[in-house]
Amino acid sequence: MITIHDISFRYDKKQVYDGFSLHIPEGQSCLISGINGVGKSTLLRLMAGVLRPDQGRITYSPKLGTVPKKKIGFISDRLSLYESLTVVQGIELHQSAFGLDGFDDSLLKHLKIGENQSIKSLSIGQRTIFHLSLVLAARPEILLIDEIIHSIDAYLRKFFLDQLIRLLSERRMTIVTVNVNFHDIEHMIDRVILLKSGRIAVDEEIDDLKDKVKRVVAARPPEGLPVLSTGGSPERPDYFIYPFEEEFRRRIDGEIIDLNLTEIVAAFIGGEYV
Amino acid sequence: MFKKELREIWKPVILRLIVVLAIPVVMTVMMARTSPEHMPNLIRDSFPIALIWVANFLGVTAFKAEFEDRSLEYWLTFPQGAGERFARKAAPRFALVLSMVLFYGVLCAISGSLVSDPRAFKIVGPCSVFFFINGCLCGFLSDRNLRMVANVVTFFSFGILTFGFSRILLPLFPKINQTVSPAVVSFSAFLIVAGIMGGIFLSSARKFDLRAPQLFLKRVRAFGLPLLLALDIAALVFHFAGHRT
Repeated sequence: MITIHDISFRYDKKQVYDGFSLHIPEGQSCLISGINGVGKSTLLRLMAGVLRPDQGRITYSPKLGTVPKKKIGFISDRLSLYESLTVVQGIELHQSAFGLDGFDDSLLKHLKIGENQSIKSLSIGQRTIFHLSLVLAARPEILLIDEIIHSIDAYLRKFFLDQLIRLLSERRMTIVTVNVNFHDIEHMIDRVILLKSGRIAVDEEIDDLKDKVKRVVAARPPEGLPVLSTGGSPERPDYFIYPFEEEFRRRIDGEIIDLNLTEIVAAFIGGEYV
Repeated sequence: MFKKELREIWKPVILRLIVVLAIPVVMTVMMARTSPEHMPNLIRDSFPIALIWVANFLGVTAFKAEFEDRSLEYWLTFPQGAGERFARKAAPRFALVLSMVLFYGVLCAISGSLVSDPRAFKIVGPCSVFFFINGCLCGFLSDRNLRMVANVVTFFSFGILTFGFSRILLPLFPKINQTVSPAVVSFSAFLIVAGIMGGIFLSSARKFDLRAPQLFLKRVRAFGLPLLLALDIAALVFHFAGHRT
């Protein structure tokens, strides 16, 4: 669905990507993570076409037609809508820009967002749902969601994610999300990509990744095993092993614990800070 | 899109027009008691100022909403090509400038005595084009202070370069109609200023994305404004040195 061919990208003097390539097939839900400033949001913006690579190119499936942006929905972490407009004016603008005839306002009605309410007066959660409604009106094939889910309250977060899950079951949509808190979205993710210094450090299907990363609670470091990072307390240290192999179980003198996605990513990110 | 752009500009434009037009109206009312024939001249002299002011303002508003709302990113997600992007920004603004020029023409016609004076039209034409283009370019600067400085520097550069060029160009057109040669001089100055600002703009906007405003800002600060100031100084030195000899 999206193919990134050998791109380079820089902000002023900071080289973010140099010879970066990635392919995301149709219908996949992909999570991109990494430490702050590694270029997660930049990658999403490159895919959305709001940033352009200095070198290389990004291609989209022919299914998206000659103007791929028409079928790409991008919800930025900045939630950068026109604040001076009212909700109805924002809808009209979006319809005119994307050449849309209709607009499904069921999400807005659910949140009791009034048509004449100004966008500025919406809470972050309401604005996220409003932005999602706008984006979905164009029936996107690709949905790019930046780090916004954690900034909305528990009810709206669940509401937002329920909508996404419904969409995923109804349509074969490709979703790429950037996030640091994965508890809520773990069940809808197919693939995890961890970035490090402008390169892909980990690219795994989520189930494979869970099999490959384990936490070992042991008195001393497991000898000869690939320790990704350490955690816990000095009295009770933890060792994160990657890639974990089944035969390691015989060699480990301690407890082996399965990890959820949040813990896995934290283990990778923790390794970068140590 | 057109409606959204128009919504952003019409109210401030009306306000500015009222301010500018209020001055000649008050003066006209005052002077009409003694010499009513001043009225057409006041309209002729004040309307170009209004037009220039409004055109400059319209240019500055071109990307103002995107900067203030931080919505440039959202705007960039719209499925539109580079040409379409600028056409959508420029169309309502050009429409407004054009309608003002037409309104001015109607005023000229009504006042009667101005119809025989082509100078007014000569002033409005190049100036409105210059200030519209320049205003749009300055509007692209996300930094408010620099935008103000750029507007002032380009405005005075236009004037100073016209002044400097008059020494070179006017002697070249001694036999041309007196109303045409000043326009040629102004147009040459316009080309220089627009060339510098436009060149920087095009080089920054070649790959129009979120970084373009920052890149444009950096280049205008590093090259555009110093170059214009240097040209202004050179033009003034040339003019006055030539005057002394």
